[in-house]
Amino acid sequence: MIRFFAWLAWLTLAVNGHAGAQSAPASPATPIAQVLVMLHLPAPHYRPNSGYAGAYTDTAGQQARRREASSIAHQYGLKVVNSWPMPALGVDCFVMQLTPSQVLTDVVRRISGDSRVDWAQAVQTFQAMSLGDPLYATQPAATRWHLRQLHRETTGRGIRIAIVDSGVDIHHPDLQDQILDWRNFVDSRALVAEAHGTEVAGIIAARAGNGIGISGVAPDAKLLALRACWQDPDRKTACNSFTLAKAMQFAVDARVQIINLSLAGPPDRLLSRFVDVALNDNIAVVAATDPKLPGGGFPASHIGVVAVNDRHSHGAALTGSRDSGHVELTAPGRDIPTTIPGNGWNFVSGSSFAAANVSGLIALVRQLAPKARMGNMAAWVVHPGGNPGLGGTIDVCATLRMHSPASSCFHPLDQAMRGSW
Amino acid sequence: MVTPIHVRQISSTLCGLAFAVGAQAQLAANVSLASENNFRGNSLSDNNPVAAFSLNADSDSGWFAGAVATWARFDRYRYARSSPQWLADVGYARDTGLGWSWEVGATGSWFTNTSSYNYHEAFAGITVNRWNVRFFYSPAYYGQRFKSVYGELNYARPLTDNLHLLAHLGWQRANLDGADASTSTLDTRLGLGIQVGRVGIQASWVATNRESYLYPVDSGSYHNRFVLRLDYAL
Repeated sequence: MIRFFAWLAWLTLAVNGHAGAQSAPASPATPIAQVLVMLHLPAPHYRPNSGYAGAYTDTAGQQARRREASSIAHQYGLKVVNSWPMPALGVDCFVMQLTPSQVLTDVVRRISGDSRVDWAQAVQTFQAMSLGDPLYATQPAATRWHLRQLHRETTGRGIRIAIVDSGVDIHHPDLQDQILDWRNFVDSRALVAEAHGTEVAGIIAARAGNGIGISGVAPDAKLLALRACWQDPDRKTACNSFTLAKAMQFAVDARVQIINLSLAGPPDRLLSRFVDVALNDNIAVVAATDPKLPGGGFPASHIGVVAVNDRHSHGAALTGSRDSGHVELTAPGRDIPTTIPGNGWNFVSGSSFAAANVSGLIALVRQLAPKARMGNMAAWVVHPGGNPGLGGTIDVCATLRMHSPASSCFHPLDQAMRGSW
Repeated sequence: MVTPIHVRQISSTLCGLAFAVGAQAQLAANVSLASENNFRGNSLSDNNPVAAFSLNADSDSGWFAGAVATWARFDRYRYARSSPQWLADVGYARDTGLGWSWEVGATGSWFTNTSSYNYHEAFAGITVNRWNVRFFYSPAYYGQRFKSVYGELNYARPLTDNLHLLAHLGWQRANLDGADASTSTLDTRLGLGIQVGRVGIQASWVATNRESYLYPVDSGSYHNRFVLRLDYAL
């Protein structure tokens, strides 16, 4: 029996190598326009003579949809370059590439009207919200929340956070044993250590008390490092609808408690649906705001998402109320010390890192109150007198006490923090 | 040999299903080769390898239908030692959009050379994330005077993009009509599945807790064993 499964494992490794090469996007950064075509994925059901009736093993059904996708691509002069089943949304997603002479909006409109297609949309680009300016050597943002005191009662133990970002350096000594699982949804490489993902991971869950580096906001939380973004040669970090959707499918399937999206872009139907599925499962979705985009950009503008800016994101016009379900918060996002690839540390700035701080904070809350719903302003206590339009500065202690009345977090810390930034 | 009555049954089922699922159905065909025709922990092929052909249709509205052609071999005391087996199913499955889905349907099994084992079952189930639970009811299981209830719990977990862990626990209880006699059996399965393009491979360890007299097979057919299955999508 053992020998048989060993053989099967070997076969799998061989097969994965082959499949990985096939499933990699042609080039995530390619300027050639692509469209996402969603075909209906039937709800799982019984099939006679099936070894197991489930979405993961329906080889014949997948082949039927591949055949249909090929037919659609042929009819509209497109080329199928990738696909990914997304059972959380009930669709099988096919990436089709346009020819240079085709107009993207026209192709999307025509395919959307095809009765074989559930819906279609363009592949859109998202940007990580990092300023890329690690020069401010001021007080670490984490100390404003008095983490040492907070960690006496909560460290995020038992909480799993999906970091949907660029690759995380899982061998960094300050992230040792903090990464529960990792996946690459961009290309076929197994491990890719990139700046933005590693920086976000460190802020959320760098090890505490190990004598090196920093302490994450939630040092006992565990991370799922889901590479859906990639680092350009100019060190900018970008993602697209398809890679992000694949990572969201994985995160939802893995039943994480928090999804960190330190990125922003245009409204996106596919990702909106994944966010709704996550929120419906009481997964807290945290996103960075982009002051240049309307509403702070997507997904920050999505109802139920915890949108986070840093104080220096001037121009953001976020508006939220306790009843609207639109959460806007201000968190430390300037001069944050964190992990970087290659066993190092550096200071980073941007709303990406403010969002990471809030993801860590939610992990602290959820350890004490596992079912706490954070996607509404009523779930947060913010300091009065904040700058209107920039969201509320979090009163960490009061927020903890609201969700866990037994919390011993005390007022003097709050007083010290008021108006301090 | 397929008798006219079987042809009529199968074709009427398929026609009804084709009508039910409508024009926008996804049609999927599949051939498989398995080390045996294993059904609820029992070998219906007397531990011999068996091939099968499946045809399935799924509509956007949630209706589904399918048909399977395979082979069964019975124990030495039966009138016919072996027979083609025809299976058909029809049902409706719906994703609630709340992280779970439900299904209801009916399935039938016909044996060409011995119609006395023909039977029908109704089923209902729900799927939540990686878990699936399903119940079947037959008023005359395998053509006998047994009412049968079968409950199953299935679990599938992706380990990598292509490799899946599969687990199954089944419980069957049958009552002889008009008598107090009843029987309960358990069957389990633990396996791995690989899927690459059109090809799927499943290797499972199948076990049952006792011999079941519900099936017209040799007593050796319920022993715990490996079942290997190769699928090819057409």
